[in-house]
Amino acid sequence: MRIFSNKFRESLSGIRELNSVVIYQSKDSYYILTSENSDELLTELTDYLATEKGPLEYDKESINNLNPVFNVKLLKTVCKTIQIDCKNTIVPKTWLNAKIGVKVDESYEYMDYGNFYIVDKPIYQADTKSYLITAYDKMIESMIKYDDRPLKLTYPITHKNLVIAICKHLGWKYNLGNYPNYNKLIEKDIYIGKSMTYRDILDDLCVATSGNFLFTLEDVFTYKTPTETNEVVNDYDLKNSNVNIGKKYGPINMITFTDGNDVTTLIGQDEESIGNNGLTEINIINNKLLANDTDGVFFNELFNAINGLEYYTYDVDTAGLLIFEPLDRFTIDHDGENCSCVMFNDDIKLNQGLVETTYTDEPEDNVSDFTSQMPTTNQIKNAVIKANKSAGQIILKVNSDGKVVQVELNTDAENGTEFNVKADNIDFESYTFNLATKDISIISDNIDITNKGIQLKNGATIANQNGLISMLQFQCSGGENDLGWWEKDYNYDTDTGTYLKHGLQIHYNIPENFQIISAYVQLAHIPTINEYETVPGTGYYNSYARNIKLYQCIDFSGLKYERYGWTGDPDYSYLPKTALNWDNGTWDSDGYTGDVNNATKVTTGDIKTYLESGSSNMLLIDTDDFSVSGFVDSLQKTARATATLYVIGYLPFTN
Amino acid sequence: MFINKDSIVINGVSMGKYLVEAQFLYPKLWGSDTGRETLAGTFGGTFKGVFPKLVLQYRKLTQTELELLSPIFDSPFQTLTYYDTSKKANITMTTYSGDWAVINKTLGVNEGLQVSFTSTSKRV
Repeated sequence: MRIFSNKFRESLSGIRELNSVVIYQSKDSYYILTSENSDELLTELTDYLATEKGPLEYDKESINNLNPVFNVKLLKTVCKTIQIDCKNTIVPKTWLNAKIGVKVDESYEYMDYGNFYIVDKPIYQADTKSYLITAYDKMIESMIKYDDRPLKLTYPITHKNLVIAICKHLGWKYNLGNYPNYNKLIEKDIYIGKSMTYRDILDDLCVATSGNFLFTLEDVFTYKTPTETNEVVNDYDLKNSNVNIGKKYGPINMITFTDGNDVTTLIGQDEESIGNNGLTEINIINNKLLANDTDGVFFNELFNAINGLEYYTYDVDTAGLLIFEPLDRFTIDHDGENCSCVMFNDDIKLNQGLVETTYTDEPEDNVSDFTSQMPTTNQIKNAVIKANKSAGQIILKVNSDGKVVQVELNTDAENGTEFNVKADNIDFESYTFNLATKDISIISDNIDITNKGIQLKNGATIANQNGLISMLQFQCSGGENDLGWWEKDYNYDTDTGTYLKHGLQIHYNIPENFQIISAYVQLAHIPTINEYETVPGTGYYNSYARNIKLYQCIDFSGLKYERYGWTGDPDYSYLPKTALNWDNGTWDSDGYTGDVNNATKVTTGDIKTYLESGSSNMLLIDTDDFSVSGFVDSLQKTARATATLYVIGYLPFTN
Repeated sequence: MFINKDSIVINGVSMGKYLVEAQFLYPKLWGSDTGRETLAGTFGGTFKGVFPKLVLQYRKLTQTELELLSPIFDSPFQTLTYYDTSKKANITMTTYSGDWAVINKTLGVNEGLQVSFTSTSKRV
């Protein structure tokens, strides 16, 4: 930041009187040009009256417009420029000095904008009869080809000594200090034969410093990072148009380096910061120093130095600030917010009035526009390939409007290797997807596919080495049928004079090698309403079965069907003749008794221990030993029912 | 301020004996950034300076007098000296002049006329 008096900013705001001064030396005269008619300059700038510089030409009110500008990019050299609209022409190859003065009390206080070199012939503007002069600061001297006059140095050489060698070669004064990577060694001349300028080389070297190379107002080559000034810009400084305070950029917590083949070979990241603040990444492209930094020596220190840098983006017009130099950090106090900003871009326009426009955008990728740089032929917008050699990681990432597809390869000595894919859709268009002899596991939030099978996270196994989980259903013969003591006209044994019971038979067939997980029988019991037709009007009878038990046939080949039913328990063909365990639900050791009014469903407990592969039978029968006294009685002890056997297990895979 | 008969001299000609009235105007010139253009609404801008302007009312001039003065009036620029009360001194400045006219109502008699002279530069 420039040095200024306590009253300077106060005098600049509100009603002010301004002047600009351009001073230069021609072959035979010394010129002072001003925008105002102010004689006091002669006394303020007495140094310039030295006679050895030739006669003084004092040309007041000859400057129409003065326009100092700088544009700073992160990790780059800075070249400040100035444009002067002037009644005088100044021949090329002339150095000039520019100042802007603000009247403080009775005299002007001047801010020096440094020395500038005119490269090209001024442009004559016929309409205003004036000349448009463009000049650059001392950095312009580095715009010469390196290969024409390469440095004769002994390698290895430290980064700083290489920079100093360039300064000496160009005849520059320098004051560099110990910037990041200043003492790191460069093993060889990596710039020879690359058709680079000295400016290109300084740009390349600048990246590793995490800061910027630039000239001071005294023409000393130096190094600078964002530097706090504690100055505040507020609504008294801001114009009432073009005031845009953007979002905070950073903190920077990731740096990547991408070489000329679009492969990212170096990655530095602060996981904690990323977790706390989100990712802010700088991508450095095609830096020759880092391209030779295979061990990441320069890169790591660069990352450590720049990690955490943050500032607000903004774009404002002001009534004039005049005090800031490149990379000065200051605060914009606006709308109740205090935003820490860095002076990256500044454009001062002094003519009939004064407007200073300053802005900071988010940095673009740090692209080196070296003249020798080969154009990337396969670069895709928002597509990066990152190869972090030191971390053993490769990332392929394409981003389009927030849609990301990413493939990530990770190696870790302790945790093994990872192949991570992130995509909305994964399509395999290959004809063969050969995983033979590979032990593959797919682990997800909902389902795991491992060598143990396919398992849901709720514990269910869909398939394992025994086969695919399946359910077999076997329903009783005839579907819904009579269950109890009555079956049409066949339930009465005229020989014995007794009534017979009618049951439900379930025939089932369980495949070989079917591994049973569980099995149960479900009975749907439906009470019936009957009217005894032989005695019309004698009434309706609600009928239901009682003490229904389930029997298992253990000898299928010996099974016989008693067409007319059973007078008591099933005969020898049904073993065991004891009830299964019906502890589940209303099935108990006495069997299940249906409801007289409502249809009901009841289910057995797990009966898998009674089941084997192959064909067999089950029988559900009313075991109520209450003697049936007659037709109506038998009718009342009979329901309509259906029974189904469910067998759950693994169906073996077959060729 | 008109302090004596030679207070106003234009191109070396003292105007005192020809004048019946002299107006001394001190208009202020402001830069293009002037106004209430800051967010705070304060008035501000670049003050370019005071550009003195003299409006001189001449009496009825004879033909001989007018032949002396009219080249001065016709000239786009003049060198004018006047007494400035702020500077407490005689100020010499380059001026440009406004249009002027001679009105004759009677043969050979010129009516009084008015000419303005404005400084090309701000008063230092």
